[in-house]
Amino acid sequence: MKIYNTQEEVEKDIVNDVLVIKGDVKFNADISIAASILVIEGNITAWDITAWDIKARNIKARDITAENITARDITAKDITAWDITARNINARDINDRDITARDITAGDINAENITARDINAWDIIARNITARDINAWDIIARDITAENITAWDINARDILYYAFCTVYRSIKCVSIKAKREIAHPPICLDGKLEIKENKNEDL
Amino acid sequence: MKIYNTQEEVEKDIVNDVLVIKGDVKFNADISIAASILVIEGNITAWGITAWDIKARNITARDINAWDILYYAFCTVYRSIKCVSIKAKRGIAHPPICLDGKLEIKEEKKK
Repeated sequence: MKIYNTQEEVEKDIVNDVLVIKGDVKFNADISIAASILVIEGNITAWDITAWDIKARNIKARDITAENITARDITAKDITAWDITARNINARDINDRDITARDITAGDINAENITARDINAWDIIARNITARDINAWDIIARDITAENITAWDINARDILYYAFCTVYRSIKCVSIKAKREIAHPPICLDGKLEIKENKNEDL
Repeated sequence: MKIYNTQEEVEKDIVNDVLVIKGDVKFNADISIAASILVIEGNITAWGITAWDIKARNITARDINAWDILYYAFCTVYRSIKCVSIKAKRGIAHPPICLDGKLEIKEEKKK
């Protein structure tokens, strides 16, 4: 395993704006570089990383700030990025523009577009969500397309679900439709389904 | 979320006739086990499940064949549920939903 203990050690190995490491790498200090990190056949373990692009197999870090992150699994406290492509993301907060991932498990997600297989989150605030299953407390979005949705409250413009849309309190939307021929109408346990007339109301 | 892709993966985690999972669980294959499923603070998403007792938050599955089922608020199934008893824990909950099939109550627990 390659171990970097200081920022200077990292900077020495940067060639043509890229830090290339073969195998696992550990950063024992906060790293902030005007360069990309490319890890070939290896994982990253770090404190805070600030870099242009990061590519690695698995990334475990405290905070990651980067333009693009491509990894198989990312485990971090906070991730701030432009685009993230990953299989699994486990993080406290994710703030970025687009998220493309297979599974996302997070505390809060603020994004413009989310495309994922499954989303498990507390609160989701997004413009568009396309996912297979969404399990969340509150969802505020413009359009939601999902297989099944389970949530506390939903406030959206158009909702398209597959067979089940089960909500503890209320759904407020312009339209809501099921894709499956035999589907169950949306369920609001404690509240009601309210159809809005104005598409941009409260969004 | 815990994900099981095969029956063998599930069987490995059974201890004293109980499969205990903390958090959400997903079964990506039909599962038939001679054991109970206890999900602590989590939901079940599954294809077909055959098990003894099932306890979880919300359950979504294709088919369920079990003894006693205890869910929190929603138990949504695409085909059928066959069980000895099924109850919701939440005060205001939805009765189990079987889209293409029906809920069938069995009389006895057979091992």
